Amino acid sequence: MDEKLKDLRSKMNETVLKEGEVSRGYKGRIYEAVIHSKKPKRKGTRFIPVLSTAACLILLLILGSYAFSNFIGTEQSLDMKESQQNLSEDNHESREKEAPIDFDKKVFQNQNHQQIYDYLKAWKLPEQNRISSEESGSSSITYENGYSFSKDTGYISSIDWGERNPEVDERPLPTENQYMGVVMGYIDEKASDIERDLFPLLLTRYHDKEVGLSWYVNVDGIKEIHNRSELLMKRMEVALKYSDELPELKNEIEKIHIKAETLANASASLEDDSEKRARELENQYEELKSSIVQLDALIDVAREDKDK
Amino acid sequence: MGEKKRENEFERNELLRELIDDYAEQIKRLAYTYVKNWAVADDITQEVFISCFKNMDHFRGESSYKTWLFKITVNRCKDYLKSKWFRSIMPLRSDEKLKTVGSLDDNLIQKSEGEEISQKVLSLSIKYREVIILFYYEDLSIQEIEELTGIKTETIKTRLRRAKLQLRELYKEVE
Repeated sequence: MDEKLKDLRSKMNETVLKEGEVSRGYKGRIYEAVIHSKKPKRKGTRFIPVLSTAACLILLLILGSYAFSNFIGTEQSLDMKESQQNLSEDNHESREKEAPIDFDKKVFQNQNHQQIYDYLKAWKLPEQNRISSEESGSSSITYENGYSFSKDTGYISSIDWGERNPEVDERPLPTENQYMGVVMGYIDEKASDIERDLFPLLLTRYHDKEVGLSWYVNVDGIKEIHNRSELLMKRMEVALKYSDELPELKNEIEKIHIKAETLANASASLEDDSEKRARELENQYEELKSSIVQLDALIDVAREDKDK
Repeated sequence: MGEKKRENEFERNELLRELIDDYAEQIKRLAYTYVKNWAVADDITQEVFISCFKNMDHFRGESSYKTWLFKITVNRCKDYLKSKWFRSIMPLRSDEKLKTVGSLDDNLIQKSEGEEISQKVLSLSIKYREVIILFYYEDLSIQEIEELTGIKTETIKTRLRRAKLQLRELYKEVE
């Protein structure tokens, strides 16, 4: 048999892999596709949550300064009137009831988001059972159970299986105080995955200019949507398991999980591959993408602010 | 500062061009040996270079670019094969399989030795096909295969042995 397998490369290249020959044009197309894929789409998507946070802060600043100027104005006029009318007591009491606004703290309209932000901003990687110190040059912190987390964000970065065989043995488990790093890491990983454009796979419909104004359903695009939503659903299942300590986050993950499951089921069958259905799937995919990217952006903001 | 940034970007783009020139064909063919579909192999090839380009700054040079690219390719292919879609749909869209079975005319024409062994290798199950391809086709050492796939040395050796046994069986069937 070794004799037959000798020179397998040329045997296969001349027969079953002959179609794998690539031209200069093909290489050029790949190059163009890669170069154009580097647009920082993620930042664009994050722009919306960042913009809403900024808008909230500006609004609070305006209202705060307005309240403050009213306060000064009221105080001055009250001082003037105090000698004439003895009405200052009531006003003074109402002023004391106003809580001071903390401009250093990010304020979210959604109470759930606020809870998530506050909790994750304060969350720290456990100190126990580390095998690499924070001072070491590495960008991650490794623990005895093989789990490594980014020193910067606290997101899970890898799992070392050690002597275990990934194909046979069970995956090593995180400790309870590592759970949140795993959850954040999974959300971040899937948000990045789902943002990757796989031209032309992500198009569920083709527009054929040569034929006219017809739309054609791209089966590969629907398949890709199915694959991605299913992988996302599975990751969210694990994230749900580890997110009990922060019910508000669990609630958000649950919503994404339901969306991913619904989309995975809807895109599993190709029986009704109409253009309308392809469009619906694409819209659902965009909605799912937006949900996970926004949750990831919230987590990112909290982790960026962790040392403030 | 801006000058330096442009220089870096230029270097990155040039490196990408070189890597595509050197490895696009090998990656496409390697991907095909896993997924057995040229359209999917094309998409995986593109994804591999996108991933490579995005992570170029993190490449620490602990392995060669070839090993790194192959590793991304193997992982992408396995992700694809693991997906439920692939498992449930492939039997229904078995045009690739039909091609390998061939028409009556094809069967009447005696296949060359090269074609026969190539088709037999492709018909092996993925875990045996993988080691045969990496060892005999890509000419990688056991250590390199271990690094690339994360499969232990002993397991690789066992699989190679069993793969060859299966190929031998396939030849017996023909006889």
